[in-house]
Parts: sequence; C-alpha cells; structure tokens
Amino acid sequence: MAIRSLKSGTFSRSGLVGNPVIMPGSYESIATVTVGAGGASSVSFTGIPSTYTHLQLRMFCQFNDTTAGLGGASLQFNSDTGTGYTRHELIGEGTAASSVGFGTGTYNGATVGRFYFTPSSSIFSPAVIDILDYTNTNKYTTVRALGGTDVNGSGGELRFSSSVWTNTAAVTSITIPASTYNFKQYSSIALYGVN
Amino acid sequence: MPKTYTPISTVKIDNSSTTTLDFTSIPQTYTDLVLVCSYGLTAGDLYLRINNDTANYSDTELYGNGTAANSTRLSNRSGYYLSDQGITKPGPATVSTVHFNNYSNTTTYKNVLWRSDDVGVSTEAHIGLWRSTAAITSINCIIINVSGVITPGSQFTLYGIKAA
Repeated sequence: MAIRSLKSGTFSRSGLVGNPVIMPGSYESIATVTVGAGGASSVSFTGIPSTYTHLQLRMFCQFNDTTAGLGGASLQFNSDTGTGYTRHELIGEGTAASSVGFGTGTYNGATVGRFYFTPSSSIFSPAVIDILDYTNTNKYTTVRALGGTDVNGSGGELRFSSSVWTNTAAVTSITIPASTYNFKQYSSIALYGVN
Repeated sequence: MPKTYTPISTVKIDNSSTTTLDFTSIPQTYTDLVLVCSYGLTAGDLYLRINNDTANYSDTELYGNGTAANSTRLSNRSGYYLSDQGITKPGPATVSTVHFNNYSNTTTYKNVLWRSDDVGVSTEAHIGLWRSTAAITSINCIIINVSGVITPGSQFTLYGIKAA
C-alpha cells in the first residue's frame, strides 16, 4: 500500500519482507536475544506491546551439531504448542524448485525456514519474518518468512514461506524452539514493531 | 522503543552515463543493512559487490517467470547478479530489496538475502554467501556483461537497522 507524506509529498511503501520500502520513523526495536555460551534450546519474546501494526523478526542463527546440514525452526505464539499451525513453503535447492504444504495437525509452529548447522563457525543463516496484523482478534494470524543458507556449493537452500496460526488471539509472546538442535552461541534474533 | 530503520544514503540517477555506484564509509553502528533499489538498465546486468572484492561470492536462487519455478546455484563468483532473470528496460523496472544481516561482525562470513521483482518478467529470491569475515564497509554496484547505463530515475537507498 502506498502512503503519502503530508510533509514532503513523497510516497513510501511498506517495509515488510515482501515489499520494497520502509517509512523511517515507523519501525522500532522491541527486543533482541543473542545466544550465549552453551547455546539455547529456544528463544522467547514476552510482553510484546500491542501498539504496532505488524511485527518483524530478523534472525542470524546457527544450530549446534557436529555434522553439516540444515535444520528447521518454528514460531509458537502465546505458548501454544499445539498443531493449529499451517504452513506452505516454496523451496530452492540450487537445482530445482519445489513446494510443500501442511494443514493443521502436522506442525506445532509456524515455519521460519531452515538454518545451517555445522562444525564450522563461519556460516550463519539469515531470515526475515513478518507477523502481520498481530493484534487483530477477528482473524487468524499470518506469517511470511524469507530465509536460507548458501555454502558455496551443494547443501544450501532458500525458503519463501507463509504460515497461519489458526487462533484469533492477539499475539503477546513468541517462542522460537530450535527443533532438535540448540541455537549456537552468537545466534541473534531481533524483534521489531512496524506501523 | 527506539526508532530505527534509518536512511544512511540515497543515490538518485539523474544523468544518462552512470555505470557504477558505490556506498562507501558505511557506519558500523547498526545491526543490519537494507539496500532498496528501483532501477532500469539500457543493457547488461547489475552486479553487486562488497568492499570492492572481486571474488568469494556464491548464491542460491529461487525464481518464477510466469510459466515455471526453478532454482539455480552460482558458486565461486566475482559478485552477485541483483536480478539475473530480468531483461533490460529503458526505465526503472526492477525493484530489489537486499538484506545484510549482522554486517559488521568480524567473525563470520556475511550473508546477503534479497528479493528482486522484474516488472512483467519474473520474481526472484536469493541467499548469498560472501566468504569473508571482514565487516562490510562499502557496497558497490556495477554494470557487467555488455555496455549499458543505469537509466535516469533509478534510485538506490541504503538503510541501517539497529537492534535494541
């Protein structure tokens, strides 16, 4: 949606992951978690203010394991660990594109993509995740994510995904369990509010 | 809560002879960078480089052109195609949003995550790896493959995001 500044007359657009331009002054840092020594099995944000239109998570993470590979991570809202989440993902693995989709009853979280785990400390994986209209109690909460890993050869992948939390409650907390792996030290997840 | 997503610099192309542009002396005070580009080219492809490095790049791409979706991987490259599925157009016709997460750390390789939309042609998403632990201090865009210019009206803005 285009928004026109009354002061300058210029147009801006949404700064969410699927759109090109942010409006300076309408994007605020809420909280950041940086994983310390020993890693973390999950990261949580609680007491999220209800004063924004959307939320954005910006991730820079690595999983802890002794073999190279990719592992998934999810978002759980308001401590809901049930399977009321749906997800659809478009996947690029460097040689072909594919897509997967899951209705409720399969996963206990919204997808945020997959992160690298490796004995090397050099490669982390980024992701940008939008949680749209998170305070609206008249509809389900939707999530859009873009993230991936490149390793200069086979083994990396990119995922563009959407998820729905089939619950009309306003989102007040977010938990990000690290699947079967721990987030490695120096992984960071920052939560922002967007108006 | 602290406001962020701060414009660092904007480059507006207003002549018909621009083939390169650079963001230099990037402040190291933010957590992430976002480069938003709206541009057209008369010919060639727009390449993105970091710190003027001409090696150590790779990326994995996912794209759709209206008839099929596909994925490609480019390893050991000299830069990134900001949009490699598009065709040249006379006016700004490509929009790219490029994320550089944790760009100032000096212990990990750097990632570049971006989307490009070529109006009427394709939409793309890329994950790139720059195999260097150096902090990102400059971002460079250059036309390659054939001679061309960045068309007037194109605009490139670099933003900084600072986590609390």
